[in-house]
Amino acid sequence: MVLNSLLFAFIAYGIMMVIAACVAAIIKGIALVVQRGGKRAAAGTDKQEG
Amino acid sequence: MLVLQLFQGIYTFFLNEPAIAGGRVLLIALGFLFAYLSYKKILEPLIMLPMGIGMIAVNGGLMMFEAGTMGNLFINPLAGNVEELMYYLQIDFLQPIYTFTFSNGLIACLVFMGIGAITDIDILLAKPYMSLFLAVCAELGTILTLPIAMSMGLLPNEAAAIALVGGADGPMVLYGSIMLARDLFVPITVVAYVYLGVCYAGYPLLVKIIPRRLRAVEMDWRSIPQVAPGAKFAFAVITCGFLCLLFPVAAPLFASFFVGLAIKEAGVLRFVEFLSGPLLYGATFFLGFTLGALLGVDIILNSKVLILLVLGIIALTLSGLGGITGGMIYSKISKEPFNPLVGIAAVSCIPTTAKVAQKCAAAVNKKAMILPFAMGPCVAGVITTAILTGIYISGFAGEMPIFYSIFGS
Repeated sequence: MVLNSLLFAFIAYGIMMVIAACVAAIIKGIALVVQRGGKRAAAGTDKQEG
Repeated sequence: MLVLQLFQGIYTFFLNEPAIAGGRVLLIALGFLFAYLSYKKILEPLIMLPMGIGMIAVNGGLMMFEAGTMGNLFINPLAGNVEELMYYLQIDFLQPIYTFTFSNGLIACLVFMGIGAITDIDILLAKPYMSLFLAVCAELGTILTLPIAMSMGLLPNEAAAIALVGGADGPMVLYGSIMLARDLFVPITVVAYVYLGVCYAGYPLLVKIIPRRLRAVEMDWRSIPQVAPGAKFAFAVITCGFLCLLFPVAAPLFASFFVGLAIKEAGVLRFVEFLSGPLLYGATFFLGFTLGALLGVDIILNSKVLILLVLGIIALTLSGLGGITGGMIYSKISKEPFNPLVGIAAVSCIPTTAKVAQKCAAAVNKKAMILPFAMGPCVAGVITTAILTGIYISGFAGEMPIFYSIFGS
């Protein structure tokens, strides 16, 4: 039972790592979208001014 | 003796068995100690002061009832059927708080809403890999305490509940232990809160294993990139949906934390004031006071409490060591100067561990300003602990615990 729990703990650790990596990817994805949105908005403003 | 019957708190000492009377005296003394240490700000007064007073009152205020039984006018956590529950709801003044906010985990969720509304996620979003890497390392105690607790004779669900202390997040421990081991949730939560208070004194000793020159490293906080407010709001909403999809059993926790965060980032100031003020402090007060009132003598006579005390220290020490190891590894791989003390902040006791990291850095180099960096892993630690809470609840509680499905009972 103790060995099983050790195994389960390591499985849980692995799952947590994968999900943490997904959360990091979500953050990077959002940053990319926000950055592109900002660039488009800036380009739109430049065109209007031009 | 007739005169003593007028003062029933004292009279009941003579009616109790010696072990119970001794236990009452011990808990009253412990209540005084908690109140004193809170007054001196050695323990966290927001929780420990009402808890100490609750312990003194509930163990002092034992009285005789008509049927010759002994009890108090605070709470009866054992009230089972509806009729009994309705009776105690009308008699015991804290019973409504216990029945409607503790037994379903609401009190932990209310605290989490408030924490969400005061949490700053700028560093987490600016440096997600650093923050989450350190947070993953600092969950070492939450992971390793599970098999250690089982080797010490606890049942799997009880072992999972005490292992959550390694996440160093009080409301999370409360929620997890209610879901996993309802019989032990009071001692586990009290152990968690007491040890979290002690962390402020204990972790500065632990971090001395990091060489002094590394503890003195200065980090340039001006190099942290700006994060757009829209990105923070989007993070709160998307991550909430993502984590709730993965772990419906812990969805109340995720929803509570991220709704507070989203409201803060959306700038709904009236709600932010409500969540971060009356709601957070009201819930924290009743959490501490009700926990104190639940700490009756039957709790310390439970043979498992001593094991829980040992396991709580093991969990927090291992998590601290994990965080330090993560900090050391990151300082090796980082291209910019990195102070490994930031790793201890990943043990997610917001904001205590971040303050500990800053205090320890300033002790060896007054110019070292690492607090802004430390807040990232601190917040990331809440997320990783919530993920583990979800995994443990799915694994050991409910109708179909996954642990038994995998390994058999």
